[in-house]
Amino acid sequence: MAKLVFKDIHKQFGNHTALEGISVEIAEGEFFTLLGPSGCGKTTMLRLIAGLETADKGEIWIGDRDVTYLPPGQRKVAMVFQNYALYPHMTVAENISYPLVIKKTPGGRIQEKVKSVAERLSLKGLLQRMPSQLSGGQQQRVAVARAMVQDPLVYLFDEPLSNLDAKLRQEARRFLKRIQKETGITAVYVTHDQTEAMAMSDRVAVLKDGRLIQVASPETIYTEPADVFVAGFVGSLPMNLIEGKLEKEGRDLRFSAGEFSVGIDENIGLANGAKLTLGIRPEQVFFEPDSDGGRTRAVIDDVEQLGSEMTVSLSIGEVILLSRIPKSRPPKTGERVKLRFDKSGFHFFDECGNRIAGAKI
Amino acid sequence: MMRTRYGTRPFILAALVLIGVFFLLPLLWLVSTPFSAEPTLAVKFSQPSLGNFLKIAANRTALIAFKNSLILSGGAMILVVVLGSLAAYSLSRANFSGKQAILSVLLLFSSVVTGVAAMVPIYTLNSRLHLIDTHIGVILIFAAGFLPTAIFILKDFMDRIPRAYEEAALVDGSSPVQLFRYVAFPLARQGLAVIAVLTFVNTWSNFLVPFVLIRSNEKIPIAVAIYQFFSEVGIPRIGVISAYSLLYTLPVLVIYFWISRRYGFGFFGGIKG
Ligand SMILES: Nc1ncnc2c1ncn2[C@@H]1O[C@H](COP(=O)(O)OP(=O)(O)OP(=O)(O)O)[C@@H](O)[C@H]1O
Ligand SMILES: [Mg+2]
Repeated sequence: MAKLVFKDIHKQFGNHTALEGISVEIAEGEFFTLLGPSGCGKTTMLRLIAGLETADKGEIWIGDRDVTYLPPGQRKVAMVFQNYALYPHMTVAENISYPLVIKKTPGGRIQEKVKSVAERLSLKGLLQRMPSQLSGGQQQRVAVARAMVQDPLVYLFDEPLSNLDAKLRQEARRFLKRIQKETGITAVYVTHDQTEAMAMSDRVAVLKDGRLIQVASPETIYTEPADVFVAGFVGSLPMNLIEGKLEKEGRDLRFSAGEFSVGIDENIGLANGAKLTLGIRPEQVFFEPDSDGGRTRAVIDDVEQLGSEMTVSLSIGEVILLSRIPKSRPPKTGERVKLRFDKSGFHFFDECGNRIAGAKI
Repeated sequence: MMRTRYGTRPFILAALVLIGVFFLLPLLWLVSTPFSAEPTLAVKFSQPSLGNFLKIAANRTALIAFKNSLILSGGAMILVVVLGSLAAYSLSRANFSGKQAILSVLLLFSSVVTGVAAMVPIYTLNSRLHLIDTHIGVILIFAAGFLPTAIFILKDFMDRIPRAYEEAALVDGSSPVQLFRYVAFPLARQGLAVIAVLTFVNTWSNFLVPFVLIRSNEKIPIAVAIYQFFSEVGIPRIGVISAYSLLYTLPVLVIYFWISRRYGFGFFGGIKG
């Protein structure tokens, strides 16, 4: 139970910069998620907190202690490793109890803790097995259990649920979240699964190439992505991003990109001729039969049925748009349709890809 | 096709039997001759007798030699395992400049120290250090001779053990002693077992080093003591020598089975996922 602070952290591997100028403050008891594509430095950040790597520059604080140069054992963190790192010569029960045994916890207390955590992670029948006799998902749960029996200041989870099937993952997610909330122990959770990040976190940090792009609540990340990268990364379907420019047409401003064109209200404060990227979430793209030959026309490319919803891919000349709509009579491939947008969901990004603040309809 | 297969079979079988007999005969001789009253160089089972063993039991030097051999080989084994594992662990885990050079030199030295060519300098060295006719002198030479090879093999073995286990143990809060005792040692112990047995077997059969460095009869190991069972005119007393040789092989077998039972040989490791 402590806050965790990164102050301008840099980390270099040879001539590869893994982390660059990371500054962030994680509040006491917060469930904080690091989200980003493979190789962006998520594991490196956790290893820095755990003390398995040392920062080249900057400070890390846990609670009121500067732990930047403290060895791992003294930082009071518990970590679930991406590759589990279960001790191969110990049984599941011994693996889970190891952190308690070396801290000289009384035997009865250990038994009790191991039993309760094993039960909650469906590991009861496996306690006497060796790690090599477990499936990937089972190993992962043992790794989680080994962290959860401890009483650390901070939990570090490196993609702890990546190997579980959908149902177990749901259960484990709720279990982790509940324990974390009950104990109030600060948690730093790494994932590249944006759904997981959105579902579990108090706050999400989006990481790209060793830099923090945005740190905010899941809600804000979704509704106000800081740049095109975040916009494309977050959401069950990536946001449609169309590069084009603003053009004045009589009284109206229009955004156009090739054959694609859509009217924009003038009051968004953007100048005529500005080059920008328009972002629209697939949930806010609709279409209807082309009866009156409207301006923005599209052709249905492909239809994907997903239970209660469907994803339709539409093309307007060179521009491809995805639309996610409730299931109805599926449109035919090749059919011509008229597009309609929920313009309140328009996002505008400048030439460098950064969000244009206040440019909201 | 069938014809050729059945056609060649008897020949292959005959050849295999021949090879088998060739290797089996000396072993048969070794287990039969000591119990024979009239030992010769042929494999014969005649007039079983324990006379040869009784002669050994009556020879004080022969008995003490057993103890001496155990001290020398056991001492070398412990020294090699302890020093070798520490050295190999640092070479495997630490990165420093010149590491590659050290490894190449190790490989080069692995066959030099106990070789025949080195006996003169070894004798001089021991003599200057007043280690002539001491067990410790022989143990040090034995250990020095085998350590380069041991470190090389162990380093390779430890390189294959993922660091993740040690990292997990560190984050879990292990002290250095706990890290070694509960994680590093158990993970490396199969490699250590291989090295322990290799050291023991190698030094157990080493004749030259103790022969050169040890003077007094009370301190010689078996390999040298066997030499005594030649009569004054240099004719081997076959019965006694074979009985002694049989006894001589027993500790090696015991060590081998004991260590393999307790620690298991072979290299495991690897990390799933
Ligand atoms: N010990 C190391 N030596 C050299 N480069 C390293 C080392 N560890 C990590 N890197 C590099 O640093 C970058 C960040 O690695 P990191 O493991 O933090 O990525 P990640 O975000 O956890 O990715 P993933 O989602 O694939 O686990 C990568 O480009 C990686 O190649
Ligand atoms: Mg990683």
